[in-house]
Amino acid sequence: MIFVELLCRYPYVTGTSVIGIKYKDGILMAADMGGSYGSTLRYKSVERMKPIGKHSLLGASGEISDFQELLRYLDELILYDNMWDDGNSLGPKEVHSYLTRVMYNRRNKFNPLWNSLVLGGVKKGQKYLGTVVSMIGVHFEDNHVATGFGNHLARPILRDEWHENLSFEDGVKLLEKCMLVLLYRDRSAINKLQIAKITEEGTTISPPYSLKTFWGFSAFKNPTLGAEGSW
Amino acid sequence: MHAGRFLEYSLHTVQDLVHHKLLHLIEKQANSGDRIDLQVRCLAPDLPKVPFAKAFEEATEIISFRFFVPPFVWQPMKFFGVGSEQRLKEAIRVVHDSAEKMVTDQRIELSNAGSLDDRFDLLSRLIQIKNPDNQGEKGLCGIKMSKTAIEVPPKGGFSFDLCRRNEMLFKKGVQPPSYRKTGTTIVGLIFQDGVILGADTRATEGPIVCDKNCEKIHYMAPNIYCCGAGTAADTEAVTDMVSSQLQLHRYHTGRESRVVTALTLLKSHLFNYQGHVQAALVLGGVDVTGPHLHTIYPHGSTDTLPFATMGSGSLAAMAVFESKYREGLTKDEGINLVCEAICSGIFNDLGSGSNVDVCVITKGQKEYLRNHKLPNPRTYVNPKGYSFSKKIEVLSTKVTPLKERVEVIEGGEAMEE
Repeated sequence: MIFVELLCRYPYVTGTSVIGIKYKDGILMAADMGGSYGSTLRYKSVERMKPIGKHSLLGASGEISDFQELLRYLDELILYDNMWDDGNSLGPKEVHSYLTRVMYNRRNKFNPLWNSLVLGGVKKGQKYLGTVVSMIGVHFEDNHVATGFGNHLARPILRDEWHENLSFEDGVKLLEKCMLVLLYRDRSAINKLQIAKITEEGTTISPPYSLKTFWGFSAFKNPTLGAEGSW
Repeated sequence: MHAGRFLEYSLHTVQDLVHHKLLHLIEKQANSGDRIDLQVRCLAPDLPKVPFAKAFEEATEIISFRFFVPPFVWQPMKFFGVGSEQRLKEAIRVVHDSAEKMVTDQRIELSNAGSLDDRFDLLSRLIQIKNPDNQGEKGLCGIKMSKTAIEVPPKGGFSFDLCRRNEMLFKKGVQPPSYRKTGTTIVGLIFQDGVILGADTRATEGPIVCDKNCEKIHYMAPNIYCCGAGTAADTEAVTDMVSSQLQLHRYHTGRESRVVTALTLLKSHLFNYQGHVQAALVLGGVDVTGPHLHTIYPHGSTDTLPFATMGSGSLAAMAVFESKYREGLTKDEGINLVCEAICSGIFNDLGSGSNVDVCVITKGQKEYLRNHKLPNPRTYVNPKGYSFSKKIEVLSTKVTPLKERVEVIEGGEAMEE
């Protein structure tokens, strides 16, 4: 236990929440592009979602370097799978299972990968969306998932408004709604996000764009009207 | 008691004992060259004290054991006379017997020697002072045994005795009881004509729900209400206090209270206590200057907002507000939005639950909708109902009116000043 501090480390460059939902044709995922170095916003073009093989899409929050390490592991995994050349390829369920094992084993050695991951994909018409939560190795599957602050701010909205067979536009609108709340209320969020979609055909990650925010409440304009001395 | 005089007396006694008795004894022995055994036994009349002291300590230990186990464990033990309780009985008997013996011994000496002036212990003094004939042996025994009563003269200030007991219990693994918190969702928003406040109704004590339907929207003034999150006692006390201060102020000025008054009173009180009064409040009301909504944090800072949430479910509720709030909501839209936000807290936060309370305040009137929504009804009710196992027979009936019939006499005499 003495070397826990040395091994467990602290995360240095972190990404904030990732949100994923199932929709009619597959999976939609959203994440912003910020990498915070403690309380400074150091990197503003970090791509936190990457396609894995033909069928999966991985989004990560937490330590960016650990995410990059994971990508290398997964790269190796996919490479070896391709080398078999047997016409079969690893689907999202398999990749999810592999990730769970990796995370759990690292935590057991007190040397965790400081991430919360969202893995989604479609294979042979079957949609799969699961998360592997952080350093601990907890994993579960659901129709809508989120990491970090997204759990507190986005999940309530998703629980109310998600339904089976969302169209692409509705799905994007829903994700944008959640990302807007996160932008307002999460201090490490930035207004530059990407939306990724994965269907039977393949993966598409949109170019970065920003959301429109509204600050025009009359109460914000003159908050102490009638309440002199407060702020 | 006369602490100074007592201390002086004790000092005298010890000095005398040492000078006149102990030193002589040691000198004598040194001269004679014999070996002496400096156990308590050989210093003569202390012989009965040894089993006495042992029994006394054993009794104290066993009694303190009673604190660690619940009453239904040691009381049957006492009744049946088993285990530690049996030893306790034995120990008490020994203590009583020794004390009685000591008192009777002293009395015999008194009757033999005529006076006990040359004996310096407290018992002798007391026997001499009191009436030698009819004296409760038990009384003297009591005085002899109450060491602690004689030891510390009562003074003012805080008695820290129980702190040691608490530490001891904590070391043994007994957890102190937790505070009753209102792990909560409370919200407020400003709509077209005024302010709407909302709250859930669950009060938690650690992991347990201690009140399924408590009231978190507190009255401050006819036009001002306040929702409270945090420690239940703190929110209640602070809102009650400020409410009465506002009432007095209303009498003083003859005007309707303003929300900023309540705000200033609350924030200065909370700041004074540097965050130890754990009350997080959402204060809303409508006064002559218009509708106002404020949040107050336990350390005393405040915010003035168009919509606000506090408590453990504040993030879930804020998610709803941030995505759906807009200016100029009508009353029904406002109530719906508040309900949605509270429900979001109820279903997504473990510290909030049960029902939704809503309070609508507009210019000149307020509507307190207690349990406006009950999204957690009791879904299964046993269709058989409850039946008592034995037939209940009515043996006799007696009706006692609780209020006495009082006769009012008109035109009695007025009370005198």
